[in-house]
Amino acid sequence: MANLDSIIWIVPIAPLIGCIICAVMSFRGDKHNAHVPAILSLVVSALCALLVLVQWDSTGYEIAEGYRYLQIGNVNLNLSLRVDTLCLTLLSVVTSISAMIAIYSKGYMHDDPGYARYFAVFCGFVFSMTMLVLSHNLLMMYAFWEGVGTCSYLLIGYWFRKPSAARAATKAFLVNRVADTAFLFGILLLAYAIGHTDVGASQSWFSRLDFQNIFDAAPVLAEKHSGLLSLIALLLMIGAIGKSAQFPFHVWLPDAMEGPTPVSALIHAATMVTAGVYLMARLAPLTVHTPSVLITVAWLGGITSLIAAVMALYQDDLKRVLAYSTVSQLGYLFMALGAGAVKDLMTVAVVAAMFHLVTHAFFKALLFLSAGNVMHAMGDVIDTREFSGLKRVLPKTNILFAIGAAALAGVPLLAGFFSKDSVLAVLLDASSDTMIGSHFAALLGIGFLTALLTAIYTSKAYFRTFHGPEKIPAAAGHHAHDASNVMLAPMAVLAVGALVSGGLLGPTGKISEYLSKTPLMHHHEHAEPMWLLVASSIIALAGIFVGYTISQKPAPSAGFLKSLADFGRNRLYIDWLYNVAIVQPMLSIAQFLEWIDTNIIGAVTDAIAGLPRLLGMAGQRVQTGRVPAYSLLTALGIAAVAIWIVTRASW
Amino acid sequence: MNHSEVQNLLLLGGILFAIGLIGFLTRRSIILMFLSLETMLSGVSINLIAFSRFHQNYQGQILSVMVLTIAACEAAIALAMVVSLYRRKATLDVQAWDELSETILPKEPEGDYIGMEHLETYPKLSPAGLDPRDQPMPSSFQANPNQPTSELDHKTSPIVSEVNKRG
Amino acid sequence: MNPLSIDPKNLPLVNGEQFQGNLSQILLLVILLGTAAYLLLQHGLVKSKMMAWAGGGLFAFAALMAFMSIPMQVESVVRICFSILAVAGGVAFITAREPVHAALGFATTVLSACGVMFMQSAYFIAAATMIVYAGATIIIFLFVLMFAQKSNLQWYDVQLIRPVIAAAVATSLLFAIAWSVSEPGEILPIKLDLTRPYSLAAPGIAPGQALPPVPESTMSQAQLSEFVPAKTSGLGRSMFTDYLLAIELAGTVLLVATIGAIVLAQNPERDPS
Repeated sequence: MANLDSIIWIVPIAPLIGCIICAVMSFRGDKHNAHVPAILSLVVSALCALLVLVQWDSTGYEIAEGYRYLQIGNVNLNLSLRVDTLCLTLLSVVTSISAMIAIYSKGYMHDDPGYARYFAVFCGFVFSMTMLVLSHNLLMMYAFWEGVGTCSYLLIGYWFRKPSAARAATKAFLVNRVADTAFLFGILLLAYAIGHTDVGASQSWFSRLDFQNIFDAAPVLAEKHSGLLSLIALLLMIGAIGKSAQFPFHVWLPDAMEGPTPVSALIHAATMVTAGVYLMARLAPLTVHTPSVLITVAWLGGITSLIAAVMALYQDDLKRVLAYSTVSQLGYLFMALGAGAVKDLMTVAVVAAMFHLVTHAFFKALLFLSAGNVMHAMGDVIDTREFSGLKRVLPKTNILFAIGAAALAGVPLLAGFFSKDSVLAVLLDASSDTMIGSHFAALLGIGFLTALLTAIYTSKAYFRTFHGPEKIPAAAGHHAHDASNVMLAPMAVLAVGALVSGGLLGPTGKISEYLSKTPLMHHHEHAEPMWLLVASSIIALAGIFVGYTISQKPAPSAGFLKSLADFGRNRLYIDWLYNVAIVQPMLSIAQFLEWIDTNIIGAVTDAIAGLPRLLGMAGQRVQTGRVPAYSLLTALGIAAVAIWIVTRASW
Repeated sequence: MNHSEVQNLLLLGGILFAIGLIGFLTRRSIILMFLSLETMLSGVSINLIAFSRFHQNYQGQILSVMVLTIAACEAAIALAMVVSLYRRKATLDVQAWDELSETILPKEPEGDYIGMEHLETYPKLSPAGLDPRDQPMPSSFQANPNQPTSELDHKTSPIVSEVNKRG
Repeated sequence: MNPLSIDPKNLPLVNGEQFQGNLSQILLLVILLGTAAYLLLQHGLVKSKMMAWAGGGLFAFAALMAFMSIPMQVESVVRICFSILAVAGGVAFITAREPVHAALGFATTVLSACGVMFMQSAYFIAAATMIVYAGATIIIFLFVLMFAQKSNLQWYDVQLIRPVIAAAVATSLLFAIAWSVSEPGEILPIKLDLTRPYSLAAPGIAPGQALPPVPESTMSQAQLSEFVPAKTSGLGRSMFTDYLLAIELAGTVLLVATIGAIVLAQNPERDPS
């Protein structure tokens, strides 16, 4: 394209400018209008992304040169953007959903004192996310990976004076940090390994990690150092798992619901948690050569989706239900990507994963925003035991939530139906492989079970919230009315997307065709068997019915169901295990070290600090102020000098 | 004048100087310190006279005249200062003026009487002109000269107090 | 002999006498005196009269030793008696308990020192010292004692401050003096012939007239060695001619000191403000 450079650079730079303007506004002046630069910049960014998306027609990639950040000797760190269809897909999703949620936030965060700060960090997050998606170098991607982690921390801990929010933000950041350490090890090992190939040996450390160089070096490494490559891939995948909240790193996402609801919608449903999936898709040419790692990842995804679905079934907090649902759906994505272990299936796997990612972004964001409406109307009460039967009070939210829930459950012809189906189809294909197919057969079974559970808990949540006897908590006060138009309009757009995006993209083959234009992907004709579609429809409808039944009954009080319910409510005691095994020992070590610092090192330092004072006090004793003492000192001096002269002088 | 003679005289001057130094460093009463200074100066004068005789000129003697002059000036000024210092604190103790000391040092306790119990005191006689058989002895007087007093009084002299009583 | 042409390093020895260093004897004397002074100092807070008697005995022994080391001539004997008396007076001064006893010791010291000065033909200095020290200073001292001293023995008269260190310091200083005194010295006397005019005050020279050249000395070596500057008139002449400025300045200092003493000793209540 002629002016690709400038247009594609607008996509990250516009939110950056919005962030700076909002930050300045948060310090001085006009806090109430902080939404104007934010929404404006995000809309501009979304429009540019869509423009490039629509006009893209080449099959390769293009590099948009940028800013030379640092140049020392032959080490050039430059910020450039790599544009291809894979990243354009995610980019348009990210920017448009961000714009919608920013418009929603104007209504939701209306009275909050930190209004401008919210929008500043929001735009900063969008900037980091777009740069992450557009980065041309793995190390640059890691930098913006940390950037999104930081903005997520700032937004989860938005109400930082609330202790639970502060703790949740710290937990998110620390869990991500642990995963990112492994990620960094993987990156460094990869750079080292590439340096040993012919191609990479002549390049500086930074440019070895350009994605193109990685893709070029991958086959060479797979031949000669396949063990090292497996290790590298494993470490990189741990990073992806951490960011996308898979088992064992899933513990931060439910706590992250302490942040404002639009933040949950944006970051923890649609964009940031998809960064891990994007990383895996991006590194597909690398991981194709390490099937063992992909199988591991797929199993982790499967386990995650199952246990998250179980936990979601027994949560009382509506947002926690949606959070666990996100974790579960991300497990689907990882299962799909893991299916790329089978020969020649990687393209289809990536296509399936990206398809489900796009549709999931739409309906999960819609669901979160609806939950935000409920919370706003109920006076910040989100515990489902406190309210029910809200369909009369919140009619429009009722409809929107229903649309989102149906899409999530996989009701036929809605978005989730097609995308979930494509994931299951990939798994089915993979299970027919001779060597490793058994893994994927088991994972297919887990996928069906999870789909059932998904439908159950989704409909349970919907029916419990909006149907049944009307009960409004006292905290609602005069809030109990439906949301304003500024909040409903973006939700309507998202609802449209949830309804039609599946049908538009999936069966028509548009998305697979589009994504196949990514370099190193091959177009693969792939048909989905009809029995799969029928099976998943039956599962979805059955699950909705079961959920409806459950929602009308009180909570289980005895027997196996009760113990399962308690188990689920306590998050399968995984958090408790982490606390006991990791957090408490670290705290004890920290306290011990603090004791050493205060008492031992502190004592030594205080002693050294007290030394001049002691010397001074010793000197003070000479100043008696009395004449005889002074004269004695004078006489001593004279006598000493006299003796010295007499005994040493040579006449 | 031979060497040994001048040697002896110089030694004498040195001894007098040393004695004056000991007196200056150990004494606690201001005027006794001052007298030690004068002793030191007289030792120096002896030295100078000895040199004058040894070199057979008048230089030593002239310098000795200067020393004498300055000693006299110093005596006058020093005793004037003693008088004004006494007016402030009614004591001749040189260690009483220690206001320039560091505050961490302990102040000397006033009136340290330790070790003085064994000192004999002098018998107190009745004032002249009074017949001890006519009037009762005032209580501040003791008939027994061998009985040591238990404390040393800071009061003014009994003579003066008696005189004041009589008007 | 032209005094200006005398080479100080090459002077003939007086009377052909060789200098004998008796360093060890002098050092012994010094140590004895120091110990004696220390022991006698205990008299201030007498813990045992034994120590005081021991100190006195040591002092007597030291005096005897000194007495024994001099040639037996009238002049020497008289001089050593005066010296011992001076030292005794000094020791009495520093070890006395009553202030007036100390004053008496001081007077003895000064008078004995004057006796020594008389023997060195410094008549004027001796007389002036007696008048100023043993006269004026003692009297001022007694005046101050009269109005400042309490009728009883005060503790600041009796108690001594660190006598051990003071005695050690003084002894070491005396040791340094004694050592330097007993070195085989190269300080040789510069003999001058008073029969020749060497001063501007010589009679016959008018102001503005150039000095006549200094004639050669007519005195013999033996006569020169016998020469002693014994004339007070010579001192007076030297005082008012060669050292006139110094003497006048001394007089000015005396005046200033007088004024200062009067100002300092004023009674503060008479301040008009």
